[in-house]
Amino acid sequence: MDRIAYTPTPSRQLFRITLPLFLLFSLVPSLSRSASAQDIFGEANKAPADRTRVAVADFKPAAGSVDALRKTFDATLFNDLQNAGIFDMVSKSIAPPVTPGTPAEMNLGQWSPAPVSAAMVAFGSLGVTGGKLAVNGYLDDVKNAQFPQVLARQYSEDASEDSARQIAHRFADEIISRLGGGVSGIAETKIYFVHAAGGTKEIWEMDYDGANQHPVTKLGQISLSPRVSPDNTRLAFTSLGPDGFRVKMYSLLLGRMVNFQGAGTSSISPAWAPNGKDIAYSASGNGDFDIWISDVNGSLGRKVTNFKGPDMSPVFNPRTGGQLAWISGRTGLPQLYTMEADGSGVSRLTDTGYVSAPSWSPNGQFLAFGWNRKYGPGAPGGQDIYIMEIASKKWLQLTHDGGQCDFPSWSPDGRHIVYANSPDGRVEHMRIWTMLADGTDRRALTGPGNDMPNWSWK
Amino acid sequence: MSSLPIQSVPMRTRRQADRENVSAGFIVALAAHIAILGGGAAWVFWIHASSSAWGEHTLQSGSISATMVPSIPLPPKQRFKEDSVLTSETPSAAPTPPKAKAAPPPKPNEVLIPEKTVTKPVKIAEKPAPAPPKHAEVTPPDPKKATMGETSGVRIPEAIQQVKNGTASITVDDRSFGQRYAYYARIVDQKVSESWNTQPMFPGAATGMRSVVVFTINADGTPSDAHILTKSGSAPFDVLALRTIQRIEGFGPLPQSKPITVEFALDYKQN
Repeated sequence: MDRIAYTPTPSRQLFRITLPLFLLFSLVPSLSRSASAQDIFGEANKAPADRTRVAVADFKPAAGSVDALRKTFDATLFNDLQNAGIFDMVSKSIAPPVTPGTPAEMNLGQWSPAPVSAAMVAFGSLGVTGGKLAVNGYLDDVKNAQFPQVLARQYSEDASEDSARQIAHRFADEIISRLGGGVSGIAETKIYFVHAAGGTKEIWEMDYDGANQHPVTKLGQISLSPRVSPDNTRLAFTSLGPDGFRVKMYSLLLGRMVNFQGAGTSSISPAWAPNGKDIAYSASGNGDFDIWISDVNGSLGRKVTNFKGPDMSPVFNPRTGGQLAWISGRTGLPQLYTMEADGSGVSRLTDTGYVSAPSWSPNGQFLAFGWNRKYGPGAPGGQDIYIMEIASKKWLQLTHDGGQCDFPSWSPDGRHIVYANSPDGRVEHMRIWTMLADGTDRRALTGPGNDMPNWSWK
Repeated sequence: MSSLPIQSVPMRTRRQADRENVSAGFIVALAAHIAILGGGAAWVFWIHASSSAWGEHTLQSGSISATMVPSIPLPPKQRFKEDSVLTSETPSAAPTPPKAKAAPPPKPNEVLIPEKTVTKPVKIAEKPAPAPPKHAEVTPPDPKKATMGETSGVRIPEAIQQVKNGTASITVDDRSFGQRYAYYARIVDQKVSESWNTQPMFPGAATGMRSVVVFTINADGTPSDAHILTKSGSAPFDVLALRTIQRIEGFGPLPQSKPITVEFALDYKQN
């Protein structure tokens, strides 16, 4: 990032010298072959190991196009690709002022020279015919003049602002999946969170980019820690009702509560197994919370921890479903532990401070959690988001000096983390933020009064 | 008191006696209160000091250190060209140029003394000219280099990337694939380079080590059958090169149904 990093290093100069030599020694069978290979050489030499540079042309208005829908579509598509975190986006202000609607109208020569220097360009057309929003989207490889087309997609939905956004999300996810090495994009995913208003807390839902915030539950109680099932059909959460804290279940398909009978007299912090058939939660009959695993109805429960001291906030390894990470206070302050799902192989990952709310990365490699490393009266520092590589127990602090940060949750592509932040530590000022998994590109998704985000599985 | 007559000293009124009694009782009560409060504070302090509820007194075994996590599944950051600010949507903050500091003006009562500059002639040692060889040297043939008429096939790397641990070059055997789906070759290149970037190097790694790994990319994008084609001469280096490929979960579905074979050369360059 610094300025020095961009000056040509001796190794790169050497590389430039050795390249022609390398070409000299290879025997070139055909001229076209050598030409295309050299093109790629030049490109790779100029921008080593960089992010793919992607440009997005404004979509061409087709028959019956509505300006508002087209603007929504263009903005959403650009933001989705920008938020993906894997592209270097060409700013719209320097993109050529053209709107090619079809591959025939695409002139790649406008997109390849500096300062645009795009490697890929997305374009297409958008129109409304018979009440349906019809979108043709294309993705072209600017460097490949002979076979430029990478992707071509057609979408047709009811003409509305929401469907324009949904189509843009879907097309962006196609591009991200194609260029991101097979990892699906997150533009179609949802985030569930706790919204506090009027003395009650309800579970709300929003798109990944903070748009379309709306309530899911209307219980008039204090509902906490929402966890959506891997198939996006059910929502498990903790609710404080007349019978104390209980794990509750809401069916997103039926739009109403369904039965969940947890163990003990109070149960909290549910977590879904990646197979969608098991739920881990923390339950207590006598005040000592332990981790239980049951099926989706709360029956067939079995206790997997048995130790004095609270055990709570379990989370399954989403890759294998065979391990659990959880928070245990068996040695005093809450610390982070992992174990096999049958309760064996307990391993402690942190040895100091106050740990809360673990979230396991989709590839199973990392744990994200809130951690107050120097906890106690008069101790310096605050609660921040950390990630830890489980195999090596090496950790990395992602947030710094931003007040209290808690409740991290990984996105399904493993590139983003959503979390709650309160600049002054007060609960009513909690806002939901998102960032890349390396702690950069932070931005707020909601206003104050929103807490405990949970990113859907897909 | 000293000005009073002596006779008046023992003549204490009842009121004065009462006042003295009250003040004595007050002092006793005050001392008792202080003793109770102090005892309470000492008890709290003793409880706090002796309890292990804070977790700070537990054994610090297996202590972890503040080291960076080696790999987060994100591509490297776009480098920012300072001369083209508008090309990137999220450029890093350009450092503000430091303000030129003006030299303080000389005070009116000061007299400037000119600095003496002594230039010494730089001595340059004479280099002995190498004697020309008496006989023409015979260079042994390089086993890795193809010579005219003996080559079995030609492979031109589709792309070469300069990465932290050296360079990585990719060759796809299927020539038409490389032309038709050049973008996919670049994705493979980028993924392998990222994986290579994050490999921890062992102490004995030397610049110039080069392993060539061959692997197959299946239709679903998963790499398989990775093996070393050309050894580097260092077994740990070959293992690292092999692990670079094996760590990758997938490159994304192939644009064609036929699997492709990819050859990847991994070099090491000490930074």
